[in-house]
Parts: sequence; C-alpha cells; structure tokens
Amino acid sequence: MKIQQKIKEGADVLEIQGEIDLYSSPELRECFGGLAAQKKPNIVANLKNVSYIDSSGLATFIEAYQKFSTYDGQLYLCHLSDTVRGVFEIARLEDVLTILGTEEEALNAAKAPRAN
Amino acid sequence: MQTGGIKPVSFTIASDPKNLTEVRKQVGSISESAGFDHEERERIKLAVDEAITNVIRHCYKNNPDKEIQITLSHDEDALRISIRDFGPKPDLSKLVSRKLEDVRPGGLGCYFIRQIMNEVNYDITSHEVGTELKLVKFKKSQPKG
Repeated sequence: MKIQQKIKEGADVLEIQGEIDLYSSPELRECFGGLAAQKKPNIVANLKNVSYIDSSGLATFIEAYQKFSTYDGQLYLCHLSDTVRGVFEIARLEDVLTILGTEEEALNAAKAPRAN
Repeated sequence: MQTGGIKPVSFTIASDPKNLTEVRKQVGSISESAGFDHEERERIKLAVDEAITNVIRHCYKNNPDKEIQITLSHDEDALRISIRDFGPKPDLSKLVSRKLEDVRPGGLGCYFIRQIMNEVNYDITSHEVGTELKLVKFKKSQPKG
C-alpha cells in the first residue's frame, strides 16, 4: 500500500493505493494519527486505487473518524469501488462515515459551512 | 475453467500478516475455478482473510513465526476451505462479533465470516492441538444455510 498526501483547496487529501489489511493498515493508522495530532480540520481519503479492504482497514477508518471527531474534524471518503464500498456496507458504515462519489464532491463538502 | 471439482490443495504459511496477500490470491484463483463470479470471489477472499487475521491476532497474539495450514477444494456442490492453527483452543462462546450499532474499531471479523460463508464450523475436537476452522460456500443454485 502507498499513501500520497496532498493539500487541495485547504483540505488534506490522502491518495491511497493498494490493499488495506492487517499488514498495511498500521501505516494508514499512523498517517491518520499524524493528521489528528495536528488537528487538521478536513481530511479526504481518496480510495480510487484501493483494490481491497478488510475489517482491519475498516477499523482504521473508524478510529480515524473518532479521533477527528474529538476536535470537530471531518473525514470524507471518496471514489470507493463497488467491492470496497460493499465491505463498508456489510458493516453498515455507510451511515456513519461520510462517503462521497468523487474527490470534487468531498472537497466541496469540506468547504461547506458547518452547521452549529 | 473447472467447475466439477478439484483435489484439495494444501499449503502452510507463517503467521505473518504480509502473507495475507498471497493467500487471497490463492483463494481468488480457486474460487474462480469453482465458478464463482467476481463479486462472490471478493467476498470469499474477505472471509478467508478475516479468518486468518483472527488466527494471527487472537490465537497467535501477533507472533509472526507460527504456522497456519490452509486447505482449499471444491466439488460439485461447494467450495470448501479449512484453516488450521496449532495454538490454544478458543472459548467458542467468545467468538462473537460486536453489534454493528456499537461503532468502534475492531470486532467484525467473525461477523464478516458468517455473513459471507454458508457454513462456519470451529472444530476444536478433531485435533489434539489447535483448531480447524471449516468454511463452506455453496455454488450457485444451492440454498444458503
């Protein structure tokens, strides 16, 4: 798995490539941890090139979501393949995490005013 | 592509998470030869991945130097997968998943396995040492158990 970090339109974008499982998820976890430590307000995870995810990967996203929530940070996921999205849906996380179709949609959501 | 059946294929891996990729490839390959479509193959790979992850994390406590034996076969009726460990036998009453509404990291491996596979059997009696997890996925036109 590879992770490229970029700043786009004020949001921290992670372009993740490969498979997210027990072996690779610690690296992603560390990446999210660094962003949470810096209290980054908007994080976009682009999963366009993620070919596989298991419950270890889901746990990493859940933990990240919870960490960001402690300071009102927002996590957006985008470009999930049907297979990857299906795993989130088996765990019924599509109602918990913000999953959008495209990176553009995610960046627009990140720029939108927050409801008080 | 064979759909009638194949003899069991067995291989042993070290309990190092880096080996999960190769196992998924093997499972994907035999699932394809068994006639499962792409979506089902991905789900079967996930179930096996989760089962082996559970062995690595819970049975072997993340020790990467233990053995896990995997046997794959299919016949006219089903794909059959056996995952054998040589560690402490589990308390079967504790092999449960968290409730989905209790959103927190972890605790979903067993849930995924049972959602995907038609039969899930933790055999703790056939072997003096360790556990053999037997998974069955019926081929099309077979009822879900």
